[in-house]
Amino acid sequence: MSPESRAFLERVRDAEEPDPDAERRVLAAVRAAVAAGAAATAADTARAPMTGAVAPSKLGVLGVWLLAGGLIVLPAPALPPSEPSATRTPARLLAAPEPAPRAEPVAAERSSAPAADEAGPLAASPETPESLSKPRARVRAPASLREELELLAKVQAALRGGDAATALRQLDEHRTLDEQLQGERAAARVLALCSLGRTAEGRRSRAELLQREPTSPHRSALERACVEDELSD
Amino acid sequence: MDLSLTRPTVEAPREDQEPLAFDAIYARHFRAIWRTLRRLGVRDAQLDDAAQDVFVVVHRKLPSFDGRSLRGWLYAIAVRVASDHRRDAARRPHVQLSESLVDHAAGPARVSELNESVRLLHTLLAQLDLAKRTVFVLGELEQLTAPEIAEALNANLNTVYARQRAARSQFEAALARHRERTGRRP
Repeated sequence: MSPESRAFLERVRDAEEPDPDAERRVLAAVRAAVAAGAAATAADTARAPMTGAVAPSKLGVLGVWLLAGGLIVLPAPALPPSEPSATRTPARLLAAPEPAPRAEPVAAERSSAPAADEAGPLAASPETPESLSKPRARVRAPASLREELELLAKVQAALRGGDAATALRQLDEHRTLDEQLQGERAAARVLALCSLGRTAEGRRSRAELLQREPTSPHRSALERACVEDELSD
Repeated sequence: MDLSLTRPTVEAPREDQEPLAFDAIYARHFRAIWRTLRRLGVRDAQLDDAAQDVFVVVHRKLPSFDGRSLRGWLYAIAVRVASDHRRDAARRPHVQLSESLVDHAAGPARVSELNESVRLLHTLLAQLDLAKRTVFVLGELEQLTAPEIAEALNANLNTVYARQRAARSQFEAALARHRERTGRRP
């Protein structure tokens, strides 16, 4: 690039600043979401109703479900049915409009796992042996982070209600190329499979997940899944 | 209770020896992430939410972060979150770009000049397609290396180089057109 262009970029590189309060404001919102997630985890561990545990943050409550997503991996079948998930659905999720269908795919030049809005249609994604062996469920465009969170909330509710079959069906029906919550989805799948007695699949999925994410925060919960069958082996 | 969710730190070795405690990461990178979200097309009205989304994901996933390239990892999350917000924003009314986002520690004349430069930057960035805009923002403005960009975008390194060349060329041409049109140096 020309020296003039470089000088321009140098000048603007750090020119934009958030308003003076933004850093504190956003941090407070993140902390609120984290605290709400931790409270939700504690409440769930105690098998107590979670009403009020998921408090909205100042800016929105997306983070609550990211963190509360950890709840998904708690062994759930023995828990009493939870309250309807909608009562714990963050306001921002409730307010979010239905995702518009993609008009047409965007050509993806990337080698793999493109970002959500650059991805081609899911049907064009590489097929895995697992996906080929399953009946093709409703195939959707790659879900946004918020849609993923909404799905995980539903899966969590199904698992907590002891309905692992519904949880698994929801996971199968809503496929995604978004990898940010891949670990959470995979962990939920392991629990669902184990709850359904599909032990071999559950163990295989768990092994794959833990190999891919050896430091997964869900490791201890995953290691408790399918454990009865392992002990009797 | 799984306390790992509330203590997002990892001990993995890393290349830059940057502390991997959440608060330290936030303090060091918040402004750059905020700026990058804006330059990747997140509207002003959504910037706080988008920044929150990024750092909640960071907090959530920090325990499993492999410690390789913190900046690349952060920008990968930011690119993904920006993508989500752009998609949402396409269904919402547009909010005008704020002009009050440059450093006000500078004098009024300097603020005015910087505001004009920032407006021009965003005008030029908007002329790039999303793929080129992303590599340009990450490379030329945030100064990630091409391998870091490739990792952040999960893209082929040669593709990144090609996009960088094309983006620089288009940016430079647009800047030259601006200069010819206004008769002023940018």
